Amino acid sequence: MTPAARTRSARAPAAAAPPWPSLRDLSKRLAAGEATAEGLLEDTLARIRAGNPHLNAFIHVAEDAARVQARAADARRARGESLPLLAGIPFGVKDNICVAGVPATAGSRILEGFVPPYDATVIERLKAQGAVVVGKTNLDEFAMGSSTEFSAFGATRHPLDARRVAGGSSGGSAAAVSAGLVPYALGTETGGSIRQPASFCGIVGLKTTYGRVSRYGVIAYGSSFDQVGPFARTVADAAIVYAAIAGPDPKDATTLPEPVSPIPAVPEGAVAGLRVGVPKEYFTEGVDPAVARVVSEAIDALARRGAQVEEVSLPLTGVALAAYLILTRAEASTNLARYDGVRFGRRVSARTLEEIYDKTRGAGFGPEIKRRIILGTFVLSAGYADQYYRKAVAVRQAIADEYAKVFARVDVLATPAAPEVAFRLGAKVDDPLRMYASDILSVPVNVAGVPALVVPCGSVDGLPVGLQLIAAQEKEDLLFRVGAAYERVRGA
Amino acid sequence: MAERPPIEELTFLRHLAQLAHLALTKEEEARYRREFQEIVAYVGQVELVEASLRPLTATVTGVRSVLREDRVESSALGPALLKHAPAVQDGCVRVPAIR
Repeated sequence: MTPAARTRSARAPAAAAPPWPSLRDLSKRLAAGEATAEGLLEDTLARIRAGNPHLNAFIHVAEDAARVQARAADARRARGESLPLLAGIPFGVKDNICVAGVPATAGSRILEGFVPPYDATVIERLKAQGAVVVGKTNLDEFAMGSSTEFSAFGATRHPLDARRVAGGSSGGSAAAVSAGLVPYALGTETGGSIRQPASFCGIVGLKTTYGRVSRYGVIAYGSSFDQVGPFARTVADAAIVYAAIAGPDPKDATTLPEPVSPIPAVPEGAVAGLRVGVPKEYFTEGVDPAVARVVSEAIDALARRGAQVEEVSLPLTGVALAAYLILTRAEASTNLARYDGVRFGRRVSARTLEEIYDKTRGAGFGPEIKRRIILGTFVLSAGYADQYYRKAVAVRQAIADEYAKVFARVDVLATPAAPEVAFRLGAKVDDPLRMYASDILSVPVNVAGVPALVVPCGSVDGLPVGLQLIAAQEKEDLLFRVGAAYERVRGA
Repeated sequence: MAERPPIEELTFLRHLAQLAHLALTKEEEARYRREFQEIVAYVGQVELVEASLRPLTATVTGVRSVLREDRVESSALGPALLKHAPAVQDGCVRVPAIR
């Protein structure tokens, strides 16, 4: 085989499945009897059988449970019931979101044998609509990573280039949607874990305002950051899933009390007259110039449609990652204290209780988890807490204020979603700071608690690039409007 | 141990690992000492920011007091939760006694 042919076969993707129709179209077909939920499920399972061995997007496929859900949806329709839009449509769930009766690993060995006895609120809401949970997707252990290489179950490969990562920590969900295994999937974000994989895999990803979606039943990493969000092929699909899962939840006291305003059927609205801010700090060194160019062209396209584009400045952008690292490690060290071998998951037996804790955690956690727990313990320790943790809290508030100020001047911000395209497997696993830097353009948004949407806008050397749109707190509707407008401009 | 030892100092690292109930191998200790020095130096940037320490707030989207009626409710999850425990006796989770 010539070197060129060898390269081609190394890059060759799994046989590409035909793209799914939009959720709206799927729903119409189901309502018209042109498709059945069981039929859609069989299609999904076939795609997973064909594509997953290569991609490693799914950790667990819940075939039997999914068939029960699909048949139930079909039976209701057969009785003449008019069903919600998402009824009978299959989807994937990141494996840090609990689905009753389906094993949950959080990508870790420490939860071996754990099967949640309850549904996360987001799952409850989707099941109430009749949606069909197909299985649990791969992730970096406890959602801690930017490449899905830290999963205890192996890395997820990029659908377009098997030598590359799908991004992280929600790499499994991103790859599953990008490769057409499922029409949509749920991921979570603490610091870019939906948006960076969406950008790498060329699909739409949404990070909501903090508190917009319930965290009940989501295995916690950084409780003041974690949010569930959708991966989908289009902005309209992402908006549909968002509307189904978002809203106040009495079981999560951090959810925002305001009800979610209904999203229009297809996000409408021109961008003419809309003020789009371009923060210069998102286009500086550390960002691949080729990526910056593709994104700038996307922003120019919006300008040609009448958007008023202006440069803005967010001076604290450069320090957001440092504040983020401190705060999330502190919260992780607290949240992961519960994995102690006592009440659930794996237990390494030992003579004393202390030894059970130390050995279970020593054996059950991967290296990145241990790194984060110890660093979190450090920044919270006596003598260091003021300098690191308390200062990071103050910096966080300053960053949130900076975003609030800029949104008095502009309606949305437009930036690259990631500083690079999908990198090679193994390129960053041994260099923690380089790995963290993959999220420099995503974490400021998590720190500020504002929502952001990623829409594919082009490619560099055949690898996808994402346009990131950022809006003020609770302004997801603006994101959908601008995102959908950009899709029309791009010719989606 | 000094009051504020550097993170890469072995006794301090071991102390932190002990606080975190994490048994580390010798290889892990050596590796983390190297990595933490770099990471801690990086996050130290926050010191340079002009931002006064305010009362700690947990979130940036507003802290609200969310209450419900103080009423005992029983949960159906009890038996299901107990099923997950590695060792159970008489309806309780079983662990070695603390001496």
